Amino acid sequence: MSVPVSQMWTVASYVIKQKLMGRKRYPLVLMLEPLFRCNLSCAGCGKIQYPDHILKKVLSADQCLAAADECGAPIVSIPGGEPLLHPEMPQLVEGLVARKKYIYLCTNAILLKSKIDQYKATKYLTFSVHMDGLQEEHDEAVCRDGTYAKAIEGIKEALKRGFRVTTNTTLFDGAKSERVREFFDEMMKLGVEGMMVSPGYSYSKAPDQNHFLKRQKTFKLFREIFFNGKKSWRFNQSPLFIEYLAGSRHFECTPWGNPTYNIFGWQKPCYLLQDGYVKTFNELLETTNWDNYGRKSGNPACQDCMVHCGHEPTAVDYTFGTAKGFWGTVKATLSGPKIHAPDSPIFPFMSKPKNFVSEYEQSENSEKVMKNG
Amino acid sequence: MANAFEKREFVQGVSLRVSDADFYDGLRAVVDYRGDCKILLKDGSEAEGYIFNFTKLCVDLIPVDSEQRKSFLISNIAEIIFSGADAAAGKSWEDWMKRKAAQKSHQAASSDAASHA
Ligand code: SF4
Ligand code: SF4
Repeated sequence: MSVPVSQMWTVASYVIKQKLMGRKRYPLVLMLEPLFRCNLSCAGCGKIQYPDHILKKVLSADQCLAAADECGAPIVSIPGGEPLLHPEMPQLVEGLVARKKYIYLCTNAILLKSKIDQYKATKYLTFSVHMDGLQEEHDEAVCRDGTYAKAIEGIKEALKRGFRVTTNTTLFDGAKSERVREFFDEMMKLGVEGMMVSPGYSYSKAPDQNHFLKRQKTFKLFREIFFNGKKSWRFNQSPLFIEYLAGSRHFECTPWGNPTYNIFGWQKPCYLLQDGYVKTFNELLETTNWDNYGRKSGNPACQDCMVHCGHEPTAVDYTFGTAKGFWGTVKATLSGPKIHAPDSPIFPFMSKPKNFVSEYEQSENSEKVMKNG
Repeated sequence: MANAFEKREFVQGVSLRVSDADFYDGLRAVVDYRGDCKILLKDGSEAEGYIFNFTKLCVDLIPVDSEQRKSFLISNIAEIIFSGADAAAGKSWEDWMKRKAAQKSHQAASSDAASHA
């Protein structure tokens, strides 16, 4: 694991404090989306598929800082859209650094080299570069040739100037494990601090739903990637989450772990689904029917979901909230995650999901009365 | 108007009336739709913009031409029209792969033709 000790300590003490305070639900990472506009147009990216007047909207730095204060999570991830297109991004980063938040600025790095002068290297700021594999795979995934080369240029520049740089990879159906392993080697050669990897999700609003990995396929892919994984590979994510992806253990989703705030408000329930918006973070925590989400809820939208924004918080909560989790993390950090052979028939136990009835179906009859006012 | 046995597709141009049997499926489709919609109110006024949220009582809209978001009581709405183009249409991974494959086969055909010339 490549997360710096100071960051680990911040997260560990934060989680322990939440536990001591008896908070049942608490945020770990604020997913802050200050704009949806992007300078790429990746196939199937639901984040950029809005009318022009929505794509032109941005949250101001002040609105973003207010959201970070309201939420209180120790880590702020800034995806998008492309955050480097935001006119107040340097001020926002500065404000978050002043608040001692660990920031993951998620960028496709096309503008990284030209904008890097606007940022100061600090342990609080990490450029998390969207890299979906080696040149061929990446350029194909982002639908533009030459993007990989541009991103590598940006990464090298950021590293040269002492910035923390990680990569962020989403693997879709059809990913080739040997190419992913080569990609990991390549990123390590470049000298990035660590890598993050997650399977794609079938966004209800993205049209390419058949394209995404189903759970069983996910186990196989991640086993092929991580079985006999190299000691030189460093990951900027929980090793228990890697074990989860490879089907060595099971985690349920913790949707409240990574709450999302964007131009529409606080998004229910998670970064991926859009089941409504509310004005305050407390309202999000209190009015979301959390039992309706995650695999075991039976919610069809969650059945194949294994993405990091829902399940990594579970891994972190398990690590710092239980002795077993802590010991498991120490073990996986020292000797690598426990990964079964790709053809192993061993899979983690998962309880049968509930029969799902959406809130909307439950209350449909009462609503029918209201619409006739 | 849709009946209970057929699910209609909510695409640009479709109109959803408050009296439709599938009004609530339609509302879900409205917030899932990646284009603007026009709300026609029972009092004859209208508003156009991006509808991003609905509750049991109202729908929330960001107008095309103003910063001021608006909420409309469902009981005041007569009709919602999927008026704007769908920003997600034709932008799937499959569409991209098809375009890429066509491009590749076109390139292969032209280089074949060049080598035979
Ligand atoms: S770079 Fe990210 S935000 Fe931009 S289109 Fe691609 S996936 Fe979407
Ligand atoms: S499983 Fe969790 S992260 Fe995934 S879609 Fe459901 S609520 Fe969101």
